[in-house]
Amino acid sequence: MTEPLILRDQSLPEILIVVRLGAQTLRDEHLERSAAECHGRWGIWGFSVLEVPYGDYRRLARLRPVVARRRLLFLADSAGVVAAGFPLLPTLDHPHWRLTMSEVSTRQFERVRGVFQGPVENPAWAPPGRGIR
Amino acid sequence: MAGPAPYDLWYDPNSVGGDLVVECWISHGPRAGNSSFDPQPGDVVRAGDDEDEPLQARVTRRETNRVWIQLHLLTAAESVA
Repeated sequence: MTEPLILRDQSLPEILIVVRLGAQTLRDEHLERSAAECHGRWGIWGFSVLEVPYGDYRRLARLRPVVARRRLLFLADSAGVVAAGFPLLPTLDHPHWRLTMSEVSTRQFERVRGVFQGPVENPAWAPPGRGIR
Repeated sequence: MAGPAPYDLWYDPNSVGGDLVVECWISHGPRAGNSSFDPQPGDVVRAGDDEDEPLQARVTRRETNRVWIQLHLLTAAESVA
């Protein structure tokens, strides 16, 4: 049974960088699993992305400590994501957003990969045992 | 070069909350076909994303196929070192 989708009272900023953690994270099988979990929970196709608050990756890592554990990430600007036909919804707590898709297919995954750049080095990466810099 | 170590549950690192809790589906992990795998709240499991070293995690909630775990941000190897 799906849950109600509760959105934060937050409109899409004019400039918003979103990231997707990991170098493998945009592969078909990863997107398929993430989208299936999203659909199972809320009845919509999509996957999680994270906002980089004020472009500050260390702030993001403080809000989401798991960010510091990933050396590589993909990034996209919200305008490009939305212009490509993928609405961004402010789900869960800040800085979480959900990139939504009309369907799950290899064609959609190919299109969504096209709006991301990377993988690039994560400026907030902290090797194990080092803590958030 | 060897890949990441085996794990029990697959998780999406992008969905991990600030409290390090994340929802996983048993059917999406490597133990999907293992009927004896029956994680319950309080159990310690290994969670992986096919990329980084698996992390230890504690089960906080279970609803049939859906399991919520809280990650421990040390890898299994680090936690025994």
